[in-house]
Amino acid sequence: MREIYFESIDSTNTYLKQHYEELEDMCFVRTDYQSAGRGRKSRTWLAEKGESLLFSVLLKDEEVLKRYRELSVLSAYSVLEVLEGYGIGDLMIKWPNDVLVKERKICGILLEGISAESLRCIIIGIGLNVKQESFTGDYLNEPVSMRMILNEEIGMDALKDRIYQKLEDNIRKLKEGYDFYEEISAYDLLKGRKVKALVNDVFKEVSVIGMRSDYSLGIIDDGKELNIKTGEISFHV
Amino acid sequence: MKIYKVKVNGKVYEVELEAVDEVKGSVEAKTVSEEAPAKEAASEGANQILAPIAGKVLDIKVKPGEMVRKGQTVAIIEAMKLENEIQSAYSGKVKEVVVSEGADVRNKDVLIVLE
Repeated sequence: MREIYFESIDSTNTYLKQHYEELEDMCFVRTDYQSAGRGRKSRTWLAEKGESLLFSVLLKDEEVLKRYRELSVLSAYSVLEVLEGYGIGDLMIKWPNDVLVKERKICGILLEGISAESLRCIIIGIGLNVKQESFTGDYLNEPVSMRMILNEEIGMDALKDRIYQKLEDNIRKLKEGYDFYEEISAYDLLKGRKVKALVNDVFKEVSVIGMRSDYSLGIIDDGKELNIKTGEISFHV
Repeated sequence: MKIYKVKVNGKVYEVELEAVDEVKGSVEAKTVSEEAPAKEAASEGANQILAPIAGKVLDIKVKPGEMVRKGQTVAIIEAMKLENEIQSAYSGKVKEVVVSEGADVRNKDVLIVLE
């Protein structure tokens, strides 16, 4: 592992996007503070300095990049496994990559890729709420932190090492052909529920069948069965 | 002596074969012509920016008539909440933007054509 640390930076994802060509596979960038942290579709991701674990991992292995459809969900599952190891229960994944505790968001993940004729790299950006007791910024679900649940100090270095190791192990298994579907489905928050779906800025109620074996999300909308594969639709419980 | 054209790994060779009485013979082959790699063979193929994955077009960052540099991000495609920046492999002027924001694309669909 090659680790790069910044006390503060605009965005760890942006750093890897700008330098991916000269950096090695599984290189890891971490910071205590992001001045321009992002969620999907340019939503902001804000955290006070030192309160969140903020890091990004660079993937360049072609065999791993071929499995890009699974990487969103697998990233969330890797964080979830580590949080379970800290004794946090009631963990679920809101498709495809929000990690929630009792339906409150504790971890956000942004995957970005760069392509020129073919997919060159994928960057997994993780923001895990660790020490906060209050939150500012844009969010769709009411957030929670590890501190608020465990009521104890969390060592950031040990936490970072455990998440990185879990990611590395799971990505290696993915590359070897392992299918995580059965394990991850057990944490599918939306499965079997009626939820509000935000489609083109309009809320509508849909029934969720659950995550499919190809990692799309099966829903029933107006009596029609659909498989959702993009983030155009966001779901609210 | 007969001349055959043999295609090996995408390259075409002319091979001269001479019938011999013995079981073991010899073959002399020389590269006379080569088929260019598929993406360079058709002039229109070299100027097209293709979707590298299936997904939804989130953003088109160029317009017809604009100059594009090699390496410039020209579009963003999203799949399974992976936002993928599409960088142009070529420099040139945008001739046509084939897809619009919100469109679903398949792998290798043409996104943008450069002159």
